[in-house]
Parts: sequence; structure tokens; C-alpha cells
Amino acid sequence: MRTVDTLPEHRIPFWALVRHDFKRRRGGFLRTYRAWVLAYLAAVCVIFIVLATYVARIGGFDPRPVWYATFGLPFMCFGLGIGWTVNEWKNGTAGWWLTLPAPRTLLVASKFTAVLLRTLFIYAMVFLGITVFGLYTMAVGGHLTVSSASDFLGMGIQWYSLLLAITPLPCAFGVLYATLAQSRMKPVIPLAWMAFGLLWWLLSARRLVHIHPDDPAWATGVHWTWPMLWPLVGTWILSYVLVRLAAIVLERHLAM
Amino acid sequence: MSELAVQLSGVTKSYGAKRALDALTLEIPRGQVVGILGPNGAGKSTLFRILTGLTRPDEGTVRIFGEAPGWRTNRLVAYLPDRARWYADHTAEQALRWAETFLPGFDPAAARRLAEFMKLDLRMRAGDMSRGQEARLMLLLCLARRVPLLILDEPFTGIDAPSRARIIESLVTHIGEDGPTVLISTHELHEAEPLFDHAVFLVDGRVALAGSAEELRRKHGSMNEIMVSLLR
Repeated sequence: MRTVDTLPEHRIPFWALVRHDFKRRRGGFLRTYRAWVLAYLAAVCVIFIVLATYVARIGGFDPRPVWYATFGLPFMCFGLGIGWTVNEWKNGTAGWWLTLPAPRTLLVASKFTAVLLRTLFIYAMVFLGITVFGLYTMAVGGHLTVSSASDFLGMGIQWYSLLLAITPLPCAFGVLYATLAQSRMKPVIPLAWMAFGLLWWLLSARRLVHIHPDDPAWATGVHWTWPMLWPLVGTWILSYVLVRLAAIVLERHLAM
Repeated sequence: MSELAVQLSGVTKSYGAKRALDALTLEIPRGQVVGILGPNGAGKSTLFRILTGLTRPDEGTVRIFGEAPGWRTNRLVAYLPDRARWYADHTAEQALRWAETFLPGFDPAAARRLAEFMKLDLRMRAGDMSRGQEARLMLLLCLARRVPLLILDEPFTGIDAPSRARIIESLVTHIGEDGPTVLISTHELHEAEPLFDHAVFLVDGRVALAGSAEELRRKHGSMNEIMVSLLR
């Protein structure tokens, strides 16, 4: 006879959960349309090379502002946070996920970590792509030197450090947003947008999110100093608060 | 330790104006196979969601083996959610590994025996399975757990008759092994009736009729007849 007392304690391994959450869930699409996917990838590579060669040959092309094209990456990880959480409902697996014998904070933290890791992977791929693009255009334009290459990469690293510093926040916000959408707290969502708009406006008014298009080396003007550690710590604390809030929403306010 | 597997007292749960459970009071002893029966919207799935901590009651108290339901008590419960699907990218083999990692009391050897019995190819991806095959996979993930409470919410929905027969056969064989408490909700009354030791009929979130299956049959006829008379 099975009894409560005979069942051993069970602890859900956090990193196994992260690994499960990290896995792509659309493998079927890629497998079915592999030829199409490869064709599109090849086309993108060709366009990339043609474009890089063209701009390099015009002369006077400075690749450094290309780093700013990654400005949208934190917005992308916000979308990733929403998508990966909402997918549990869309795919009909929310019941399995939410009845795992683990605190909701652990479940949400795992989602957040998986989104963050995927974001870092995408950041790394984009970094690699821009590096290849920049060095290639410099080489074709005939001004690839150790100094110009290190200047270009140094700016990329500087800019990326800024992006990485704020990235946990949109990841956590995405996960919270998705849980709110599945809860009786859904009417709070417009308020969240208003708060985001207000924050954006405040940052813009103080020119903290303003990129100087006339100064391609703007990011190199940002120097990491100890006082800048506080906003960084603040970002992580705020991200933790958002993850906890998402866990509370899942625990107490689910619309199931 | 409580002799009752499940105990609800005055449990009410509303979704907007709709009252899913209405001051529901219910006691389910250990080791019984209980049919939780009733028409659509009677509150069966809401009851199961409350028992697994997916949702909270507005009023009343709930106990599973004497504890309030939540993530801690979920280690004692194998739950097959209503209208659930499995991760489409998993093969059945990967699903077993997933269950071994995350579900307490999961017995991989028992799962393999069940897969063979249910004629389920472990190399097959859930995304390529028919509805019946996927339902069998999810059911075996529940049945292969050595836990004291099984909650199966509509395990036969959308499944063809041969698959249904195979699932019921598995249930009969498996449940007999070491006697967990089993709560099953289903509309397939005729086929599932032999499984039940007890039956609870819910109508509008309340217990309309409850008792031992044999006694109910003696007094009122088959489960199907009882359901029809309750809805009349």
C-alpha cells in the first residue's frame, strides 16, 4: 500500500529545469522545412557579404555605429520572456508545469534564467556577426589595422556592457507580463505599460537612453566607475522583485 | 496521519458570476477508486485544480492527507490535467526521462512495462503522435508513479474506442497493484463504471449524490442512468 510516509523527499534539480526550459520547442518546424531554412540562411549570408563589400568600397565607411543596431536586443528578450512563459498555456503543458512539486519562485526563476541564457547566446551570435562585418568592411576598405580593429571591438565591448547591465530587467518583466496575462490580474497590464512609458520618458528626459548618431564613438565615452555599480545592482534587485511578483501571481491569482 | 485522502469543507469557488463550486463538502477515504461524475460545468475540473494547488478556493478548507494543497503536497499526487498535451519535441523516451527527473515516485521500469502494454513506441515524438497515443503517454506518466493519490481529469477525452479500452484495461491492471486513492472524472460512464469503488455526482458545484458504487447501482441503476435522472 502506498502511503504518504513511505514516499521519499524529492527536490527538483534547478538546473535540470533550466535545461528543460532552455530547449527550443519548435524543432519540428525546423526539421520539416530544413531546406527552406537553409536556403534563407544562405540568402542572408550572400546579402550580408554583398552589402558589406558595397559599403566598404564606397569609402569612408565607419562601421562603429553598427553596434547601435543592437539597441533592440533588450526588447527582443522581453518578447522572449513573454513567449516562453505563455507557450506553457498555448502548448497545453501549463498543468504539468504548475503542478511540479516545486515552489513557484523556483519555476519562474528557472524560466527567467533560461530566457537570460538564450538572450546571452543571441547577444554572443550578434556580437560575432557584427565583428565579422566590421573587420571585413575595414579589410575591403583597406584600413584594417590593429589600432582600428581594437578601437572597433573596444567600442562593441563597451556598448555591450551597457546592454548586458540592463538585460535581466526586460527578461524578468517579460516573464511577469506573461503570468499577468494568464491571471485574474490581467487588468493590471495597462498600468505596467504606463509605468514603463513613464520610466522611458524619465530616462529620455535625462538623455540616458539617447544615442548620439553624430558621434559614432558615443559608447566609448561611457566609462565604468564604481558609482555605476549601483544601477547595475538595482537592475538585479528589481529583476528579483519582478520574478517574485510573477511567482505570487502564479500562486494566488491564476485564472484557472 | 489522516485516514482520509481528501477532505473538503464548505469549499466555494467562483469565476466571475459563475459559481463553479458551491459550499462543497466531501470526504474521500484512502485506497478507493472514486468516480467524480457530472455534466459539463459541474465543477469537476475546478475541484481537481484546487486539489493540486492550481487554483485557490474563495472559501472553505481543503486537505490532502491532512495538509493544505500546494506544491509540497503535489509530490503525493499524480495529476493528469484536463485537455493537457505533452511537449511536442519530446519522444516518449525523453518524456520518461523528464518524469524520472521531475516527478517524485516515478518508476521507469513500470513506465516501460506500461508502454509495452499500451503499445506505445518509445521512439515516437509526441508531436507526431495521434491524440490517443499522446493520451496514453500522459496517462502512463501518471500511472508509473508510486504515489498515494492519482487524479485523472477526463483521461478518455478525444480518444477512439480501442485506445479507450486499452487505457481502461491498464487502469484496472495497474490500480489493483498497490492501492492508491484514485479520482477519475469522465463522461465515458458505461466503460469506466467497473473501475469505481465509490462515485460522487456533482451538479452545479454541489454533491448531488454520493456513495459506494455497488450501493448506488443497487438503489438507482447504472451510473449512466443515475446521471440521466439527475439531469432530468
